[in-house]
Amino acid sequence: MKKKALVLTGGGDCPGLNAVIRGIVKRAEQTEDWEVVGSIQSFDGVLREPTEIIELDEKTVAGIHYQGGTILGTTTKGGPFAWPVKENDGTWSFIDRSDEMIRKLKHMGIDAVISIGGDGSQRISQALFEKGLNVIGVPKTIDNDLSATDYTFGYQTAVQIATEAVDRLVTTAASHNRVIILEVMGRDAGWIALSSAIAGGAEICLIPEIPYDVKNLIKVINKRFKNGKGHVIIVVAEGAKPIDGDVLSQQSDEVGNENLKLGGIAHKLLNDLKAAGCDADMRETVLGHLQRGGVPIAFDRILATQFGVKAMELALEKDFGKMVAYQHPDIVGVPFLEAISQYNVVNPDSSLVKTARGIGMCLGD
Amino acid sequence: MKQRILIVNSGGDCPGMNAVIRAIVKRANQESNWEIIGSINGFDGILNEPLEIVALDEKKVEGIHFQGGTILTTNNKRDPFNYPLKQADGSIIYKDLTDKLIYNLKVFNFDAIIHIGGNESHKISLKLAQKGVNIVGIPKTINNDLSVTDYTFGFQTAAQVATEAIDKLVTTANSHNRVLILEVMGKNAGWIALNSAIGGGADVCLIPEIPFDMNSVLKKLRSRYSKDGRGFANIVVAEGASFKDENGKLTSGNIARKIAAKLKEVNFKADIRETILGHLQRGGTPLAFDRILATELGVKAFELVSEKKFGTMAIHKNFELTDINLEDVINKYNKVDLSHNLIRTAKGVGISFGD
Repeated sequence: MKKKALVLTGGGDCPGLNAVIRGIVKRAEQTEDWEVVGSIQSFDGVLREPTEIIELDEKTVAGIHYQGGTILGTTTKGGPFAWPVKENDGTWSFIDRSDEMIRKLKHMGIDAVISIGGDGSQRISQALFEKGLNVIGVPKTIDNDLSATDYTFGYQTAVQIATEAVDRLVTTAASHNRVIILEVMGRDAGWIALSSAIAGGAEICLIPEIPYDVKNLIKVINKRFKNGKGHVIIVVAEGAKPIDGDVLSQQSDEVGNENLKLGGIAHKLLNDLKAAGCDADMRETVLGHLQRGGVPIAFDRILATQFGVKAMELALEKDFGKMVAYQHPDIVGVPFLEAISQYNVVNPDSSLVKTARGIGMCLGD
Repeated sequence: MKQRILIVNSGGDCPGMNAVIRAIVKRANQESNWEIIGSINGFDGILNEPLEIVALDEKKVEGIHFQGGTILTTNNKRDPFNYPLKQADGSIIYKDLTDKLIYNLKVFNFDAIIHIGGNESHKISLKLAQKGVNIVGIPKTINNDLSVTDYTFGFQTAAQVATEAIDKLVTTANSHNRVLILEVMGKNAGWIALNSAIGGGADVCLIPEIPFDMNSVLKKLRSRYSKDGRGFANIVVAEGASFKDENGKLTSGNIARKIAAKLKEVNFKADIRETILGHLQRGGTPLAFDRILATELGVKAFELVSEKKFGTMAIHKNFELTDINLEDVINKYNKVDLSHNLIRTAKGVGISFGD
């Protein structure tokens, strides 16, 4: 009988997930004795009754590497350690189904689990690994905020999309002499904002790592506008905050979703600028989930394929408890605990920040 | 008086050159005592009479970062040490014009040159530095074939263009059950071919570093046309790839066409077509990745000049911008190492290198 690897995707989607799945399946097909199955919507496919598991062969994964999203579906909620259960009174409680799930996986004849997900997923993987499950992790964050790996797939695509948005906003802002504010993703790390601001040529960029002062922004805008003529592009990360305030967020009303919903900073900034006396014509654009959709750029497909192949090879070598990571130019496996120990935020002394300041960009400080 | 920097770009163009120029100018404008001047068409601008140079201010460079090419135009046949001079009878003689170059730099008050160019260009940079010219280099190669820097701008855009070409060729190959051969750039290094083969999902990838065996390619193609196969195939070949013929001799040049001819010669049954991507790989809007890298290098190069660190090149290593002496740049080619993870990945997804 063939050995079985189970693949699943958890957390928010990002371009390149399908290329990872294809990489895993194609690598397994190079062996005689492995086959790959997929669990629908992260671990839910295993936990549900009846289970939702699909076979993944070369035919299933043919051509999926240039599709965004994930053919397995994903979820940002629940999981084996916090399975939501609705009580009779309508409230929700959460139960630990991890032991049951491990038994189920054994019963299904699963020899290795490859979990593709963000830091939450990697934490679940570590806990399952400690309970004896053969798990391998593949990192996934569109925000590039994991320090164990040089890059995560999806990130360059998001930067490209945000940059093209800046390209477009520049020409319309210039035609109408406007200030246009672009809100991009980035809860704790401003990588997408800073990178797209440099590539697109924005005048102001606000990131979570550097609290901003509206007075500084007004100065830049006034300098750029002469007799009502001029234009300014501001790129702002959703997690940016003023020096005297906090990030804009709201508690999610979705069951089991612990992440705060961010957003609204562009709108707030517009009002704050108005209140501080900025009389330029201003508009806002919130890029939202366009950053997660669509065809991954070649860079991300290549990185994702490398991750998929490496993850399968770790399974072949029985080298479990590790997450694959890109450490230029190599792809390596790092223990989960090490992998999730550090966030990768923008260092104010980094060359990227120096470059932004070097071309005269205002970072709000 | 303001200090003056002359920007010279030479070698083939690639997307991102304008972003470098813009970054140098914008960085210089953060100071009060610098002027940036561009030399038209490589070293021509500073050697011609009258000079062909252009003052670069913020207005001139506004918005150029998303234009491909170079506003200064470029040329890869203008070595000041071996400069072509057209004679009255139409013949060309080559002369060393470096003394004139140094004289012109002095007379027109240039304090330094920032030279944007590839491997060959920086051999010139080094020789000029050795003659006392204040010069700082910026690496530029679409082929990513310089080992002292982690990435070169233009390369990711080229890999993207080649990948999108494969995306398109896959659907038409599939519809017509064809073998489609895509020839991409890469005389000595197969990075574009390797990256686009993985990115686009080709079945065969042929690179200069691995001389291929036609029989091995045939074996892969036959498996694609077998009962379990998908009935079409995509081959990506770097222009510098070569194969051994019956006598064990290496054959190269016009490689896509030669592969197609060879497949027909052995009566491979499928319909075979070739596409040569050519200069599409050098044109158009640079990807964000390349614009950012180019901007970083432009800023760094200016700072090297203002710190008087001449005879160096601005590079990107381990996520930091740093510099390296020009002596240490020369002949450090970055070829695809056969133990590189991309080779392992490609083999892992079943791509054949014809070896």
